[in-house]
Amino acid sequence: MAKISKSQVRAAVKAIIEREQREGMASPILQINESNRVWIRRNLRKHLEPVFSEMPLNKDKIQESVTRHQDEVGQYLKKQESKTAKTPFYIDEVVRKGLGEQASCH
Amino acid sequence: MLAEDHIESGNSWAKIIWEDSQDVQYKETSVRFFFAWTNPFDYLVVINVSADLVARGQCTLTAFPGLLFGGWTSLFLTTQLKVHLSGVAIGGHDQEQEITSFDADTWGSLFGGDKESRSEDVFATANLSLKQVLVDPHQLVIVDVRMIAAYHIDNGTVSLIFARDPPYVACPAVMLEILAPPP
Repeated sequence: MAKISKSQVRAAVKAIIEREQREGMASPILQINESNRVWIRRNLRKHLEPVFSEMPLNKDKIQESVTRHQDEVGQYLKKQESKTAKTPFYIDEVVRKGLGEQASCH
Repeated sequence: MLAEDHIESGNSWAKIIWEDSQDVQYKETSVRFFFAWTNPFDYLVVINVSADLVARGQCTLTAFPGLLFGGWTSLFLTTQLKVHLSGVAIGGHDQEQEITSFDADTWGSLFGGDKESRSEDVFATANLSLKQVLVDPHQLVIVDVRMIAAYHIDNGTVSLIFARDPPYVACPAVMLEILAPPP
């Protein structure tokens, strides 16, 4: 019976690591919803922060940006897994709260 | 990053210190223990594989407020067992066991957001197993036991320290149960 050598084991492990780097790791299910949330949040920031930097604050512009963002979220989610379907409700809540607080500052 | 490691039959462990502050939609870092076994028989066998992975350390997440939006950082700490046979991986995410998951979140400073930090002490043992794996005669089996930290950073930081108290991250052994009788 041939015993396996350390160098054979090392070579096998190296091959495993190289294959994973080449093919990429399978995405765990837990990643899908969370990484979509990150994308949505960044996209909203991308549209809203330039508007907020122009003082005084213009609510129409904010609403316009939010609408544009929501359109883009819709397009983005179409390309994603169906599991992300509930994500926009979260961001709607963030926007509503943000706008509510903003309105109360005026 | 691997701060220190030790390989010994029944006492293999690794010390890990990992810090990241770059915004990232998804990133993984992992600690892996590889075990090798060759089917010594001239016939195909069926094996059950199991391993315990012990993790003891601390995870800290921080989120910073931007002007309008607050930062958000989240972490999933899981364990996994895979068996590699001639370039084919068996198991993986379906065998995954969560150790902990949490996040740090804050509002933008316009809305009163402030720096938010959350820490969790981890001292957990994951019992991982994979059943009924077919192994050809004299085939090499590589068992891959790992702890995976998957995270997102949006204006924040992630810190993992498994280097202060033993056993840090340890996988002492893999148990193989040979089920198939000789032909």
